Parts: sequence; C-alpha cells; structure tokens
Amino acid sequence: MLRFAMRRLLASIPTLLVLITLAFFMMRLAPGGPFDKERSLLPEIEAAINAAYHLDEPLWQQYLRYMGGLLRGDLGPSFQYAGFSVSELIAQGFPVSLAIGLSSMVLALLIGGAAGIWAAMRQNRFGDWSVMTLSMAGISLPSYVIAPLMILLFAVTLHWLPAGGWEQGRYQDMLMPVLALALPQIAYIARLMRGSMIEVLRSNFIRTARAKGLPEHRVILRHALKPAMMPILSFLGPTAAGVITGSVVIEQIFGIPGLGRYFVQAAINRDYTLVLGVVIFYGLLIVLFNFLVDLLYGTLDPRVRAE
Amino acid sequence: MSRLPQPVLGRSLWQDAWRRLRHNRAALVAGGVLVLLLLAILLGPLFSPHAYDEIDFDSEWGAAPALHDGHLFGTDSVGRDLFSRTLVGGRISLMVGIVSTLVSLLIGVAYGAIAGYYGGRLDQVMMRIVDVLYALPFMFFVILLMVLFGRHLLLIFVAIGAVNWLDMARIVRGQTLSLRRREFIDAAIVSGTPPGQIIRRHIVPNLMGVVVVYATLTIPQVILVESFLSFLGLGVQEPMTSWGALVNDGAREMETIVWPLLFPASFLAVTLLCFNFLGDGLRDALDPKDR
Amino acid sequence: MPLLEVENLEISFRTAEGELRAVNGLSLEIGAGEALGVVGESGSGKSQTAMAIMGLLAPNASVRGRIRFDGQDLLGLKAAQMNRIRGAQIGMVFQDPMTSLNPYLSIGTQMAEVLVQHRGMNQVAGLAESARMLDSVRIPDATRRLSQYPHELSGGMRQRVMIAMTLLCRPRLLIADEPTTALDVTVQAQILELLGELRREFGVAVMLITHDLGIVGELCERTLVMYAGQLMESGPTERLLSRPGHPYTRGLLDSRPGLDSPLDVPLAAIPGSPPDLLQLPAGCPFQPRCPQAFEPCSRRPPVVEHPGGLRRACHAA
Repeated sequence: MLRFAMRRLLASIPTLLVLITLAFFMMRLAPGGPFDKERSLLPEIEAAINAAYHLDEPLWQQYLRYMGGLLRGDLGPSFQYAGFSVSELIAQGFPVSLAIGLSSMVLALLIGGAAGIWAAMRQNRFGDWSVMTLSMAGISLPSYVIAPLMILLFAVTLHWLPAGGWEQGRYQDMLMPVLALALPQIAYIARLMRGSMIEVLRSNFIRTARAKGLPEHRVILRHALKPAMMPILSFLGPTAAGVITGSVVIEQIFGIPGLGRYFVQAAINRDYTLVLGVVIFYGLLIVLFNFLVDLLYGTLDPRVRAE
Repeated sequence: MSRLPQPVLGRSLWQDAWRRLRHNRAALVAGGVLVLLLLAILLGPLFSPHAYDEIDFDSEWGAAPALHDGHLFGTDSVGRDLFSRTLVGGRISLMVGIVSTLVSLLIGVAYGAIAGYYGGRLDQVMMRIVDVLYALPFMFFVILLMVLFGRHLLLIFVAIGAVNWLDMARIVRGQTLSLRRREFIDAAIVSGTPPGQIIRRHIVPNLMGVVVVYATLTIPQVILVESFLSFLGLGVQEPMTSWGALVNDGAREMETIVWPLLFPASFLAVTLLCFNFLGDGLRDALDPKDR
Repeated sequence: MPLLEVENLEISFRTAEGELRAVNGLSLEIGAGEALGVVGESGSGKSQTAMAIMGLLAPNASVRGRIRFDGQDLLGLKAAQMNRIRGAQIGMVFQDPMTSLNPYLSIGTQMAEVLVQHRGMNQVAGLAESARMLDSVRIPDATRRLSQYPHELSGGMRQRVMIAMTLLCRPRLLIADEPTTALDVTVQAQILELLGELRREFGVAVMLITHDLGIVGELCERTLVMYAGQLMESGPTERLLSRPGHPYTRGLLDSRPGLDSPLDVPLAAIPGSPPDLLQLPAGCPFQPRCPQAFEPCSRRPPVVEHPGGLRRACHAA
C-alpha cells in the first residue's frame, strides 16, 4: 500500500513540472508586458520596475527563481494589487471557493449517485427514462445559463433568496451558487452511476448474492454499491476540475469574493503573476486531488490493496 | 466488452447502424431539429429586415418581441435586433464547435493511430504524455491563451482543438491496438505495404464509427467552452457575437428585460441537447454493446 | 411426496427477435436426499430450469406451470417469501467460481451474512460457523481464509467456498449448475467427490446440471436428458448409461470420449445443430438430427412411462 502510494506520488511529478513550465513560458513569451498601459513611463522608472520584479534577468534565470520561490510557497508579488503577494491573495480567496466547491461536489455525489442507482433499478422503465432525460438536459445546460435563470426566478421574481453577494458564508448566499455549480455534475454522475450499476447488477456475484436469499436492498447496498462506485471514483478528478472551472463564472455571476473571481480580474488586468499563481495553484489542487482519489481507490479495491 | 469494428468498413455496418438509429426516436428528432436550426442560422439573417449590428433608432431600446416592426425577438439594450443577433451568434458558436472538433479529430486520430499501430515503447511514451497533459487544468490554459495572445477567432479554434484531442487520442489508440491484431492488417504487412499506407488505408477507415460518435459528442462540449469564454468576455469581439456572449449580455439586463437572456439561452440549450441526444443515439447504433 | 416437483414448466423470453421458448413443458421430481443429474447441450434449458426454481430468471422471462418445493408452490410466492427459501432451503452453486464471489468482500463477510440473514446469528457466531463449514469442505486453515478475498484463492478453492456457503443453512436441496466445467480436470474430480461426501454427510438432495454424461454417473442415482427445453429421457443413471433408449441419449453417449475407446476411431458427433428456440418445430425437436426419424415424428411425442422407472419421449423407442 505504501509502495503504491509512493509510486502514485512520483507519477504526478512530471505533470506538475509540465504544468508550471508551460504556464510560466506561455506567460513570458506573450506579446505585451504587464505595464503596457503605462506607456508614458520614463525609461529609468521602467528599468527600475523591471529590476524590482526581476524582469531584466534572462528568461531561464527568472524561471529558476520562480521555481525556487515555488518550493518555498512563494508565488511572487502581484503586479496589480500593490503590496500583496500572490500567495496572500490566494489564501484570501481560496477558502470561499473551497466552501462552495466542496459543497457542490458532495451534493453532486449524493444526488447524482442516488438518481443513478434509482434509474438503474428501473432500467428501461418510465422512472429510468425520466432521470436520463433530465440528466441529458443537465449536461446540456451550462451553469452560467442556469445561474441567471435561477436568479431570475428565486431572487428577482419570488424574492426568496438574495441575488448574490457574500456575507461570511450565510446559507442563503451559498444555496444558488452551490446548486448551479452542482447541477451539471449531478447529471454526469447520475448517467455514469446508472451505467455502472446496470453493469454490476448483471455480474455473476450479484446473482450469487440473490441466490443467498438476501433482500434486494441488501444486494444493492452491500454487494453492488461498492463495485459500482469505482468508476464514479475515477470520475472525481474530472468532477473537481469541472467544479473549479465552473466556479470561475459562478463567482462572477453571484459576486462571490473567491479565487475564481480573482482569476478573471487578473486575466483581464494582465496581472501576470497572479494568473500564473492561480493556474499553478489549481493545477496542484487537481493533481493532489487525483492522488487522493488513487489512494482511496487502492484502499477500496482489495486487489489493488494487496499490491 | 467492447465490440470490435468490422474488418472492412462494409456497407452492412452502416446499414445496421442506420436501421438501429431509425428506431431511436429521440436521436431522430434531435437530428431533425439540428437540421432546422442549421437552416435557420444560415438563412434566417438573410430574411430579417434588420442586420445584427445595426442599431434601430426607430425602435425602443430593449423593445419587446413584436411582429409589426420586424423585431421577432425584440431588441437588446442598445436597440439591435435580437433575432438577427441570436442567429448570427449561432453561426459563430456552431462554427467554433465544428472547426475545433475537426482540429482535435485530426490531431487525436493521427496521434492515437500512430501510438496504437507501432505499440511498444513509442506507445508507452506517447500515452504517458497524454496522461500528463490530461491532468492539467486545460480550461485555464485556454483562458491564458486568450488573455495573452488576444482574441482572434482563429486562436479560439486552435486553442480549443489543441487541448480537446486527448480523449480522441486515447479512444483511437485503444481501437487501433485491437485492429492491429486482426488478420487483414497482418496480410497488408506481409504484402509489403508501408506502415503509413496501412494506417491511412486500413486503420483509419475502420475507426470512422468511433470517430463519428465521438465528434458528435465533442461538438457540444466545444460550444460550451466557447460560450464559457465569451461569457467571461474573452470570446469574439463586439459587434460580432456568439451565444455565450449574448447570454452574458442578457444576464446583465435580466432584471428589466428577459428576452435578451431567454432567446439565446434557449437556442444554446436546445442545440447542446440535440447534439447530445444525437451522439448518444449514434453510439448505441454504431456500438450496440449496452442496450 | 417428493421434495421438488416441477410440473409442465414453460419458460419463454421476450426478445427483439421474437419469443424465445427456452423450456417447453418439462416435468421432473427430486426426492428428499436424492441426486438427479440434468444433462443437455447448452441452450437445452437446463440452467433456465434451475433459475426458475430459484426465482432468478431475467426480467424479460415469463413462466408457466408449477414448481412445488416441499408442497409449496414457488411460482406463487412473493419476493420476501422466496428470499426465506433461497439460500436457506435451496442453495445454488454456479458454473464460474472466478466471478461468482464478490471481489470486494472478504470470504468471511460473504459467508457470515447468509447466517445473519437466515439464522439471525450475530457476525461473530456467523464467522465461527463459517469456519467450521470451510473445514467441512476440506479447506485447510479455515479461520485464516475468512479474512481473505476471492482473488487470493484458486478456482478450486473458490468453488469449495461457494459450496460451503450454500450449505451453511443446511439446505434440503442443492442445485449445482456445471460446478466443475470451469475447473482443471484433477480439481473437477475432487469437487465431485466432495459433493458426494457432503451429500451423505448433510443428507441434502442434489440437482446436478451438466453437459457431460460422464460425471452424472459418479453422483446421481437418476438422470434426466433434456433437449430444446423438453424431456427426452429420464431414469436410473446406470440403466440410462448402459442401455439408452432415446436416439439423442445414444448420440450423446457416442460423442463422448472414453478412456478405453481406441484412438483411431473418430468420435461420432451428432450431425446438425440444436433447433432455433425462436421457431421451434411442431414435432419432436430432435427429429431433424435423428437417425431414426420417421413420419410420426412431425407430431410431438408424449412422455411415456416404461418399466424400470424410465420415461421417454420418442415415437421410435
């Protein structure tokens, strides 16, 4: 098990290297610098700024400097938010994003999983058909279409919920963003769960469980659920990536001060270090998440665990 | 268990598929709706009395849908005809969807077929690269690209296509590996056909079923990505528009006028829904493994 | 009263191509403690008969006829009532031991849950009893096995576990569907021997389903030969093997290699192939392949009782 974990951890190093290197050089090779707007800068001042941000060094030296900082958890200063380091900005925005992201992932797993199992047990009947049609709609409706419609209905028309904003994680503020973010994922997971459950229910060991006289709910919960969950588990990585990506627009729409909103602001303002920092941070997060999923996979499957 | 494709892309494979597809009402309806949508998008703007970028000073800004002044869907907050804008925006969305999918198909099929055909170390290295790239937060790279290199339509095609090929490469490689073990490939090798020709003549044609299914399911994903970028204001530039940009504009006005949000949003949702239903139907028809 | 009584059983499946008629008017009996071999080629309906007894047919199946177990009509039972019989009074061992056990649960968990379900035991008592049963099926080091997972055991071991699991509640009938087909020849013999010993030890009746006439002789007093979901011939095994009356039974016997058969004489395979169950002929289903077929065979032959406990459905014999 420990060896399995070590191997998995080592395997994610190339991904991280590619991520950081690609992002760094893309950023530096792009036409136009961060201070292009202030074109009237005196040459001396410009040189001073460049020196302060080490932009006067050769590229490879900047790269090494950046990597070195990264190892210490230092992502450099922000170009736009003077006096703030990128790490500080991320530390400010991330908890908010995490609260929303985790909530919607849990929601997606619970609702999507349950809907998928329910549909699988009614295969090709009306219940199955309606869940599958709904989930197809869920896949086809992006969260940034759902979100405005939700605001229109629940905030503007019915006045049940605030249209946006963020006051220290009130549940009223979280409800709509979490739901909008979770809906597409619920749809994906429901479809995946249905397919995987149907396949498991066809397998021989389920026939054995039934031949033992176990009631249907025990057959499903004890014998079918775990094997049927395995593909969902491998889908958790993409789900996390989807939720993170979705949070960028959702935070924008609902005016939530999370990391996604920083990212969009930074991208529009050409705050290079902040954009780079966020991309690397998210990449790290996804790699870490995939690693945890792998470990979970290993502990759940006795065949992997035995390695 | 996945069923292997037929050794030679005989007419019967496609005839079988067509027979199965005909029984799938959802897929047929979806296909029909898509054809109608395509016609509307291509021809609709020609018959509209108002161009998509023309501000109608005779009409109110944000006028309600009406027949008498020719603004079938009303006008947006600056007085432009929403009917024309929605259809013209659809041209961009669909074009991005189709062209980017083609880009990712070209890269993915070539990459996957080569890795699967040669196998061994080359395959291992090539697939490891795919694994590494797979774990990257690709959406952020697309955003980075758009931010750094400006918002050209061409760049959108390339950016989306270039990151979307990974799935295709994986699927094609798997299929190629199983094709590689078939007798007719051995026969071609023994008769001295060069590898490049074997891949082009024997492997790729046999992948068409998978490719068609996958392409149909990729188009809606790409449309989503484009509208996502447009929504963030990183897509096409004014006065040109796309469904994502229109939804974004509409969402800003929705507390006073609703149609600038509802019309493009419905078009976008219906299109995506149809592509997904059609793709699902095609998958069932071409690969009848789980019915 | 026989323990199991199947009367005029008909099983058909609704498929895209039409109605597939798997079992067509089959009747059989098994007495308490008796062993019956059910022999037939694949597609003869023998496994579906077993699944019907267990109440485990696919959802697209429809069943007619009567299945009485201990005087109770199983086909009329509700799911909950059937669950009290399955696993407790009737146990079933399947063909493929490699996939018949749940790969995610330990052997002990899978065994003990049967006792928890039917005997109301707690987990600890269930595990202890399971260990004793593993001992009974000659699995060495039984207590350690309980914490192992199926993938850690060989095919033969897994089949022993399956058998032990079905015997936990001391069922009165054990259905074994091709229990040795997926195993090595030496392991096959061991499993058959074990089944024979356990039968005596526990006094359980056995329904052994197989395509191999050779293995019924070792275990079963009586044998039933099926073809296209119908009874061809049944009777005492010894009698059936030594003097088969039905041309199909004879064909099966002739197509079997024996240790003493000369190597240079080719095996006599039955020409032709089994009938299409979607379009069964009106007459004897074996008629197209039968060397003795004659005009009356275009009508379905009735099952006739013959002296010596034999039953046969054939116009010619």
